[in-house]
Amino acid sequence: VERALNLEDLRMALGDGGMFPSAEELQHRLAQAEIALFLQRGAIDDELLATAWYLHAVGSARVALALYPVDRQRRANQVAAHIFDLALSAGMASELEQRETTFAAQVSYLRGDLDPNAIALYRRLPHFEPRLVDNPGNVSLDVGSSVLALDRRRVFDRVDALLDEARELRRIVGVGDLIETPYGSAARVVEGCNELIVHLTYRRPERLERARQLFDEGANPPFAQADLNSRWVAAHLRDIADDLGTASVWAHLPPTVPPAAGMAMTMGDPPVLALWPPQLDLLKGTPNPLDPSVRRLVLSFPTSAGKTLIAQYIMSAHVVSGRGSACVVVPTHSLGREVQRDLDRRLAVLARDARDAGPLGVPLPDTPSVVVMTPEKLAAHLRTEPERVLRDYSLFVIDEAHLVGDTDRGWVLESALGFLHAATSHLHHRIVLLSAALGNRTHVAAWMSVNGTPALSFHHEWRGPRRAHALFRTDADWDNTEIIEPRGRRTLYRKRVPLYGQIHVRTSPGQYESLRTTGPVGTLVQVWRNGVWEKHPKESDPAYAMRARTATVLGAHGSVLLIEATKRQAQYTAAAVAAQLDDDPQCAALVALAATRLGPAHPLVGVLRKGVGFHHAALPDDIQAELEDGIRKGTLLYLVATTTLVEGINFPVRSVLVGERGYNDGDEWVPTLDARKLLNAMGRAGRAGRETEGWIVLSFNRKFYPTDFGDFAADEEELSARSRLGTEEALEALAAFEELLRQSEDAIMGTYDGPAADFIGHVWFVANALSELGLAHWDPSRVSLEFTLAWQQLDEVTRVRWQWVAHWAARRFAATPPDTRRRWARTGTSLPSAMLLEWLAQQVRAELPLLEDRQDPVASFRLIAARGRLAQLLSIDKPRAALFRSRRNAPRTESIALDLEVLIVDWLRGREVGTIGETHLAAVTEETYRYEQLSEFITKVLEHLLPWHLNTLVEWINEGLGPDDQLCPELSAYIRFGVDTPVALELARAGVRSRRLVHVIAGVAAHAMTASVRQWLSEGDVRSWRRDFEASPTELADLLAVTRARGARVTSRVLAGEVVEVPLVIEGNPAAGVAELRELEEGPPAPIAAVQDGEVVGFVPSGYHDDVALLRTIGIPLVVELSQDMLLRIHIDDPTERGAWFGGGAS
Amino acid sequence: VTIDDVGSPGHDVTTLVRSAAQPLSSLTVVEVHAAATHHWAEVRLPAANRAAAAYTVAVHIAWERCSGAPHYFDAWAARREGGRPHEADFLECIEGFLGSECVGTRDAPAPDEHIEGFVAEHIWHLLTLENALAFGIPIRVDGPDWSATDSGGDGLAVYRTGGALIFRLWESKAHTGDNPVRDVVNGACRQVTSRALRYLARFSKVGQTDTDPEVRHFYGRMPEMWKHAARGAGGGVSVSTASGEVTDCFGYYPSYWDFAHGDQRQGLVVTIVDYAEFAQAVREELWKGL
Repeated sequence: VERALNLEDLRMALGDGGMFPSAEELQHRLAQAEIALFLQRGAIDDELLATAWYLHAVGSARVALALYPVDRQRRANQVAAHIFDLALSAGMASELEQRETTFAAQVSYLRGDLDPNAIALYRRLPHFEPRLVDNPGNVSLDVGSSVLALDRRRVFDRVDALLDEARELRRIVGVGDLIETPYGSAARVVEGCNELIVHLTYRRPERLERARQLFDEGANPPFAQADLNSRWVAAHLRDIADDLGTASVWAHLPPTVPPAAGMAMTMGDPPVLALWPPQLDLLKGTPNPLDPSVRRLVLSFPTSAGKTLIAQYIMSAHVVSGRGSACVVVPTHSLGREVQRDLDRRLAVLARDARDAGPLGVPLPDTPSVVVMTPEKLAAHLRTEPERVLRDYSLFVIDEAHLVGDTDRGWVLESALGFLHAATSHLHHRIVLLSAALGNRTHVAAWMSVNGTPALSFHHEWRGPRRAHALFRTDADWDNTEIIEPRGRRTLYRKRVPLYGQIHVRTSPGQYESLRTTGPVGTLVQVWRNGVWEKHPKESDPAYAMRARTATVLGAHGSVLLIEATKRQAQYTAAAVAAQLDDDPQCAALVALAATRLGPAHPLVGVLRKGVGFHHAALPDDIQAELEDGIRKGTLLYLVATTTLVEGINFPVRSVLVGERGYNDGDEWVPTLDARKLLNAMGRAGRAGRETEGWIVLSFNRKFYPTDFGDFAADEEELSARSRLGTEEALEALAAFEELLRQSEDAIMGTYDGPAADFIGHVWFVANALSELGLAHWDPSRVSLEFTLAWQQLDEVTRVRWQWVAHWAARRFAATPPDTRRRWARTGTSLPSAMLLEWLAQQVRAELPLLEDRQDPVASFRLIAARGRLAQLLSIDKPRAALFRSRRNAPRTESIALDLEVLIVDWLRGREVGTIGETHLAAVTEETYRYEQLSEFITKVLEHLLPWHLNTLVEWINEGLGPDDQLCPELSAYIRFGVDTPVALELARAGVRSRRLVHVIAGVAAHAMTASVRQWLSEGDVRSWRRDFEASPTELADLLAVTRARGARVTSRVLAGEVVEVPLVIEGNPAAGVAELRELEEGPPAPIAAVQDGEVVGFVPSGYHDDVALLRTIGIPLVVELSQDMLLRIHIDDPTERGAWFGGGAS
Repeated sequence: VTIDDVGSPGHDVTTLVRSAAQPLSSLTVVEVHAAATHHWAEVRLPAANRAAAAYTVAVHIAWERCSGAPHYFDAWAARREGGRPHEADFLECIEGFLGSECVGTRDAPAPDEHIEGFVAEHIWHLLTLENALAFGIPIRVDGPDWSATDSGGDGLAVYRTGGALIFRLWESKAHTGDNPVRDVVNGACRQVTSRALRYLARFSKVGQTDTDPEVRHFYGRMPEMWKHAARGAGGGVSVSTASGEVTDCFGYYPSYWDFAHGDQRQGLVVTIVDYAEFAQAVREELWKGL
């Protein structure tokens, strides 16, 4: 909001003098209007609206007339659109006025460089399908608005319908061209819109030129002068056509990149027909980052500025250039899944694919076009198969690259990235670092220098939706204090004070408006003790309960993400929000799912009934995924999460309410939301393309100071990514290590953990990988340090100290037998841990003959776990999550006795998490805490640490053994996914997240399956799966992705113009001839039916469901016919093939 | 004028019908008043010319609504002169323009207030084109109307005076109630104040596509000229009324807008006895062609 109300910008927009309010007055009134709308009692007065129309006229004046400076026009458009937007939110006198104002606002948003807001406004319009014969002006407004939102599917649909109408009108009126009629202007608008979208989709400059000509004719038609709305729309679209021509994906595709890259953007999902301003600025630059010659790139865009799409464009350009595949590194599994799914859908139009790298320890998949993995997996693959990584992948895209400074995981990324940079500095490989919160871009660009030239660095502050910043606190109404005399067991005087909610909204730098609730939001209770009034914590309303009230005010405008410091806090707040709401029938499916998975008594089930979820690491993965999906799709309005979600997943919401930003651990305050996380959280407020404004509210439990608004601004220093080698902890570890090293060179092999051990492991990894790459002549001690971010940030003295460590580590590497050092370097653990693994492997190998069924994952695990080996494996990282406490406040040193081996066997057997908890953790009486600990154990130990070490261990155990003699080679994957059959493992590895589902399917398949599980599954469809497996929407979506007939390349072939035949699951009485595809109102996912004469005659089978659904989403008109042998024949009704739609030569 | 059934529409009918419509200014008595603060014209329709005037206004509406498209206007004119009924599908087309939400059809007539306002707008349009205000022949008149039932901002007249282009933005109203005409004028002024930029912004954009560079530029500057009450900008209010009490109806006119010259505030009062009935007579004429 402050951005939109910047005084200088308002002054520039308004110009001097004249009848409208001054810039100061306008600023004040806009702020008032914003707040009034927030309180849902807004209305925009006529003068403000008149100002908007004036500014719109200034902003949209034809540039060629040179009436105003370009910068003023942009500002004027931004302010005009903002006022229109507020007026539209407040409500318009008539639907027609709403449509006219929306169109004007869309134009101003587009020409004010706030493109996504033009889409957001469009989405607010009610359904409308006017006919030319009733009102051609309405047709122009409707189609014009769709074009400004670049809604290709709707434009083509509407043009199709209008084409039929136009044909009929020409016949009725007896003209060859509607230009001879009063429909002339509208007809030209509609045809021009078609031509414009055709150009943006297919790069047909001649069609753009024709669109311009049609709009010119539409603005000045011979017989439609009275159709002022059509003429107005045509006049604007004439200018917008120029802008869109320049912003088109095609406009900045370098000649070195094949056009297929552009097709991936315009035809992929979501279609990208034009670029947003920061994307455009980036691609207009020299060199163009799409060009393969750009080898290092640092991109810093705020959230919702189109960073992901640019990354997709760079990757598409790379893979179609035939220079190898791309590898994307993302911080979390769930984000990786999202990135992989989105890329896969985009690349499907090029018959390429994106895949997940699979669990740790498994070799890379057979070179998909794009592979997606976490930093830990990148590091693992570089350690174990560096030659293959560099051979197959030549573009590395590191998302959320600021994580390189993360305390826990930063070093893993820095180590891998540093090596990657070093090993490819003389090759054609490319590295792209992306971040929304990277302060020290110069350092990072210098780190990624090639031959002394820093990486190309690009930073933009742009974002589409406005953002309102507000602070929430409570205000005690001391004047209405109630004194309660001691009575009965209450022996102390009490004081009850009503608390009112206060929201301070920043309206411009240094200015804010304060709001107060009309009634109390809670009560403060104080007791008179020892001569002073003290707060009574139990009787006073907790702060979260009062925050919850603010949340519901925000919820009136759209989805709300609440961030709390702890899991428990998140649950309490969720309950407090839910307590204020009625049941939300939209959430019924989520409620049923949570009740099945977690038990009906689980607190999540209760709050979900009201449309509220809580999300933290103590919930099973699949439930987390369902909650994320719920808020993304809008079925869930409120989600209360811990900070893990902030960086873990990419979903924006309308409002973000930040509660506690840390918690007390004894006397220590543990912050949970640092500047970077807060920036990320703020970035979630306001969904580009869905709404034009987002709110971010910070809670305070103390007196308000205007300086508190400073919390919203993170400076560059706070956002700097600092190498872990330069931290205080690392320098202390370094000093301790130096001391050890002075005593003995064996310190290298005796340092178990901490930064020094990690760095030694890194040196060994670098040394080994260089050797495997044939670069053994490079000095590993130099490469391992000089290519780190640390090298850019450390002072000379500290550099020399780490160099010394590197030197000794490399020296020890050289002195170790090649076979041993190679194995140890590949573990990714400290060297002492590698030695322990070596010893354990020898033990198990000796016991191997005792095991009968070596392929059985349970038996194999039991063998490894026996004789205390499980405890030794877990001692490598000493995960706190492997220690369970009976209650929250139990001492850290006190853990309950537990047979982890049996627990893990139950995990492998597919026991539900709830059952495992009841069986093994009955001593933890608080149910929530029990599942919290169990989920953390699963996430950290079973899904990460244990598979990692087991992978190395099993590999070493099996060295030299034939396939039949080996111990279950995939044991680590079985553990990772918690499954015990090959069928379940196959499904889990293929991407079915639900452990419940894979076990259910494996159980059914064991009796029914004759071919491969995917083949067997693909004989069913969404409806039968829903029925037979009781599968939830996300489970079904996973199954559809897994069973997709990739080899059929349906999407790419149809888009390339082929007639593609797809089988039909027949239902009813189909006949050869034309059919229509329709999504049934079931699900999601909705089954896609073939319909003839209004009757369902069959369904698209599961293997083709996703492709057909994608084709429908892309919005290119399809022709569907049923062949004699009952195959669906699908091809595009190529919009480029059509001639003049409304003119004489139309077909 | 008596015209035979000529069958299918043709330009000869068009010419005949249009030439049969006499200039409205010639059917009315026009008196122009020029004060220092505003100029206004008082127009009265003698009873004897009532039918002819209704016919003229109807022909003008038909012509304007069809934007002169020959297939439409000719068909309307031929039917009006007793020609064959329209084919059902063509009737639907022509009703889209001539039986629109402000007019309706015989079977579904629009509310009375709609036709009254609609006729008032076209009376202003016709008299402006005919230079009834003696302000000059406009080089271009846009409107009426953005939308038939949209309120206000009915027309924009552009003139060339002394070598420069100027514009006047008009608001037309029908007055059929018992309240003083002055109230309607004042309401219209307030409406222009609040809505002027909405209309000018849109007129301006359309005009910027004109083939004449001078006109393009002029249209581009209109909103700015209005904002600064520039010499070339001006407003006007037109009222069609049955009331004879119009002498002081522009009494408060000078208090609206910041214009410095009398000709920047223009007024038009058209007095027609039983105006509501007159509007319906116009509608009846329109329906004859459907």
